[in-house]
Amino acid sequence: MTHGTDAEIQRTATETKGSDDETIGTDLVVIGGGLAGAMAAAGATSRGAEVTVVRGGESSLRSATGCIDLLGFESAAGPPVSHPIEAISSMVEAHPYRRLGQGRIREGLAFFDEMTEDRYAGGRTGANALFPTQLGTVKPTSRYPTSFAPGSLSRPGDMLLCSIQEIPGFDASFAAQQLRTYDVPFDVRGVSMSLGAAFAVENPGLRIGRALDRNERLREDVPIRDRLAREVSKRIDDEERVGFPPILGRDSTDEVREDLTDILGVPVFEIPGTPPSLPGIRLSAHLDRTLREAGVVVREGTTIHSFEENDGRVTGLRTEGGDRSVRLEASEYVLATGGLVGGGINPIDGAVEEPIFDLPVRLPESSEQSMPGKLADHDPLGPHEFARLGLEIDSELRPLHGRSPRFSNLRAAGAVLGGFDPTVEHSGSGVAITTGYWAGRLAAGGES
Amino acid sequence: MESAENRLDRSPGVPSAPDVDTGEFAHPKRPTSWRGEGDPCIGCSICDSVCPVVSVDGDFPGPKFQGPVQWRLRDGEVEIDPSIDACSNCLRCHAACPADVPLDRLHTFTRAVGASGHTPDLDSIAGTSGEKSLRRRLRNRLLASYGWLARLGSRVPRLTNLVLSNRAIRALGERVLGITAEREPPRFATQTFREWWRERGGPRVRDSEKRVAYFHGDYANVHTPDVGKALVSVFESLGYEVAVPDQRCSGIPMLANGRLEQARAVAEYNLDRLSPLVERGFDVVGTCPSCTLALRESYPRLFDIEGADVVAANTSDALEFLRVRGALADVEVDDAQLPSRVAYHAPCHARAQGVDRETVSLLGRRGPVDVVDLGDGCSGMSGTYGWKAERYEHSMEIGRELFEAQAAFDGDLGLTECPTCAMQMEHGGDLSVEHPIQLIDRAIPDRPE
Repeated sequence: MTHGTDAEIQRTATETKGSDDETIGTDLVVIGGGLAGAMAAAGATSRGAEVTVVRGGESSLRSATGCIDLLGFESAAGPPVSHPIEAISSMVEAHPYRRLGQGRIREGLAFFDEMTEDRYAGGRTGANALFPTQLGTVKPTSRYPTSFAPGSLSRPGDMLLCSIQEIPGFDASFAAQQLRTYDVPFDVRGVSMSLGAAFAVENPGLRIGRALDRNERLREDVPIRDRLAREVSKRIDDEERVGFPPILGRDSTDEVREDLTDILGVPVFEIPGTPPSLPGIRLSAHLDRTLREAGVVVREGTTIHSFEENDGRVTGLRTEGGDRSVRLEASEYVLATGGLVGGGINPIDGAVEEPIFDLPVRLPESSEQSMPGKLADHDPLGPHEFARLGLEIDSELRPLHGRSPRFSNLRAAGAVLGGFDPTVEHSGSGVAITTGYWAGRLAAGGES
Repeated sequence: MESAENRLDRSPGVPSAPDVDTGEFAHPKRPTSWRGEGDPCIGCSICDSVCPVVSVDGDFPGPKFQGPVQWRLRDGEVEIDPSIDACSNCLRCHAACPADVPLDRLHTFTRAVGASGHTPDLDSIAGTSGEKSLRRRLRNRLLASYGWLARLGSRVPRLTNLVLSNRAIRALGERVLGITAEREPPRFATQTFREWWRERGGPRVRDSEKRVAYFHGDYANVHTPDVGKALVSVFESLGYEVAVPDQRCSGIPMLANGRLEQARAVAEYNLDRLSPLVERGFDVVGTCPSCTLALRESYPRLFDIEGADVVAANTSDALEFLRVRGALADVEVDDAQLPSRVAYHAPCHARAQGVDRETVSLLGRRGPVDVVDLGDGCSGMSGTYGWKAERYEHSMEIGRELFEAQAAFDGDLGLTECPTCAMQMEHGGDLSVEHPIQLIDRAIPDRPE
C-alpha cells in the first residue's frame, strides 16, 4: 500500500459520542513506548501526523547503558565490527537491517542524531567507537552520550578509573586490570574512594546523581562535587583523563563534568554501567520530552486488549488499563511491544505467539519439531535460536503472514522483530531506532 | 500473630502469606500469598529510578525494597521496616513497573501492617523513641482523618481560619503534632459546596440520558467550592443533569497513612451511594485525581466490595469525560475569557490513571491558549506527605524542578487538577493556581436561562 503526502493522511473523527463507544481517534497509534515506539512516534510527528502512544510501563531504556549499538559483533566469537553499516550486506536476508537497506539505516541514524543534538556523539564517522565497560571489557558502539567521549579506547592518554565505595557493582582496579589485557594504547589504573555518606537507598547512584546535579552537601560535608574532586586529587598521578561510574548527574551532567574537569584539570567521563543507569534515564527523559513537545499523547499504564479488522486493515484497538477500556481508532498502527523479555512475543505450549494480533512467529526449521530444546545453544554464551525469534516483515516493515503483509496498515519495529540476535550482535538499540523511525515515517506517508 | 496450625498448613516450598491477620484490616482483598505478589519483580529498579523520594532522601531504601524485597524477606515475625513511613504514595513506581508488580497493593499493605500498631508495635521500632513515634502515630491518624476534621472546621469557617492562620498555633502544631509550621493551612470557604448546592435547589437541568454524578471529595467541598461550582456550570451548560450524591472522603489520605480499616469503611459508604446512580445510567465524574484514583483503582484493587468494579468502570476524570465524549466539540468558545498562556502541572495521581494529558490535549486543541507544560516532576506535596514536619524539606526538594519551571514561566496562571499539588505550586512560587474546569467554565457560554 502506498501513502501520499501529509495532506492526504486520512484524518479520522477526533471524538465520537456514546458510552459504549468511547473512541479516541488519531492518525497513528504506536503500541509500546520503548526506544522503538518513541522513535516511531517521533518519526511520524516529524511528518505532520498526530500520534498516540500506548504503553504499559516505563521504558527499559532506563536500565540500558544509553549507548546506541548498531552492530557490535557479527558472531559470538568474532572481533568487534569496525564499520557496522558496511557489514550489513553480508547479513541474512531476514535481518531487519537487510529489510531496511543501508540508505534507510543512515537516514534513521541521522534522524536520531538530529533529535539528540549535542547529547550524543559518534555520528561523524561510520565507524564504531570503543569504550571500556565496568567489567573492563571492550564495548563497540555507534552512538554514545557525550559524557562517555573522553573514555574512548582508541585515543591515547593515560586513564584513571574511580570506583565509589557507596556505589556497589563497580571495582575500578579490577576493570583496569582487565583493560590492560587488551593492549590498550595507554596506561590505566583503578582507585577506590568514599564520599563519606551512608545510604539506605538500594540504588545510591540515583541519590548521588541528584546530589551532583544540585551540588548538595551530604552529611554537612563540603559540596559533593568538591568532595569527589578532592578524593580523586589525592589519588591521581599524571593520568590525563578520569572515569567514573555513570552517576555524574541526572539532569546537569554537562555542568557536573565541567566543574570536575575545572577542578581536576583533566577531562572526566562516565563508564557505561549497570541498571538503573543514569545515561539510559537521560535518554528516556529526553525522548519523553521530545514527544511531549511534539504533541504526542502517551497513554501510560495501558495495554491492548483486542483489535478490530476489516478488509486486511486494522480498524481499531481496545485498551485495558486499570479497569477501563477505551477504543482507539487510527488510519495507521505500529507494533513496538518488545521481544521475549518485554512481552511482545510469548512462548506458550510448544509455540511462540504474538499476543495482540496473533501474528505468526516462525520457529527456526530445525526446532519446529522439538520446541524448546533446539531453541537454546549448549554454550551459555553461544548463539541461541530463541534470541532470533520474532516477526518477519517486508521492506515496508509490515509483519508477514506467509508471503504477504497480514495487515496493510500495521508496521512493526524493535525487539518484536525476528531474524536478528541483539545479544550476540549488540544490535538491539540500533534496530530499535532505525526500524522505529521508519515504521513511523512510512505510517505518516513518507516515501520509502 | 499466626497459630501453630497455620504454620503446619504450609506446603513445603510454597511460601505463604506472611501471616498478617487480615481481620485487623476488615477483610481486604487478600491474594493467596503476599510474597507471591512480588514474584513478577525482575529487579530492574525502574521503580527506584522514577521514585521522587529516592533521589532526595538517602534514608529511603526505595519502592523495590518496600514492595517485593521486604515481602520476600518477611516471614510473619519480621518487623516492617519503619522507612515505609517515608513513602509519599505518589504511585509513580506502580505506573512505571514493566513487570506488572502490584506495587500499589504491596505498599498499601506494608503501610497498614506498619501503622497498625499490632504487628509490629510501632512504639518499639528502633531509632524512634516511644513518645516521638506515638506523636507520629497520632499525627498520621489526624492527617488520615482530614475529611472528618475538615467537616468540623467548615461548620465555623471564619473561626477555623483565624485559629489555623495564627503563627503561634502553627508553631504549637509543629511541636506537638509534627505538622509543619512552614505551610499556610488551606482556608475554609464560608459556604461549602454542598451548602451552595442545597441553597440553589440542586440540579437545574434534567436529562434521562446525559447525566453525571459528581464526586467532589472533601477538599472541593470545604476549601475550593468554586471548583465544584465550575463543574456544575460546565456540565449543565452542556446539557448534562448533575447529581451530587452524599459522600465521604475517598480514602486516599487513609491509605497513605496505613489506615486500611478506615479506608474500607469510606469505600463502602461511597460505593453504597454511587452504585445505585451508576445502575441508573449516571457516569461518575470527579475533579480531584486522588478521588477518582480511589474510585477507579484503589477500591477494586484493594477491597472486595460489591459494585466496586462497576463504579470503577464508569468513573472518569471530568476533563477526560469531556474530551472522550467530544462534549466541547461544537461549543463556541469565548477566546476573550481565556488567558493567552497558562502553566500546567500533571499530578502523579492523574498519571497513575493515565489521565495526565487530558488538560493539555483538551485545551491545546481549543486553540488560543498556549499551555506550557511544567515538566514530568512530582510536586513533592503528595497529599499529606508535605504536611509532615520531618518531610517538609524533602517535599520542597522534590518540588524544586516544578518551582524552577514555574519561575521560568512567563505568565500568572497555573493549572492543575490536584488540590495539594496546587497548594505546593502556590507555596513554592508566585502563580495563582486554578483547576482547569474553572478555565473552561469561563470560556464557554452559560446555559441559557
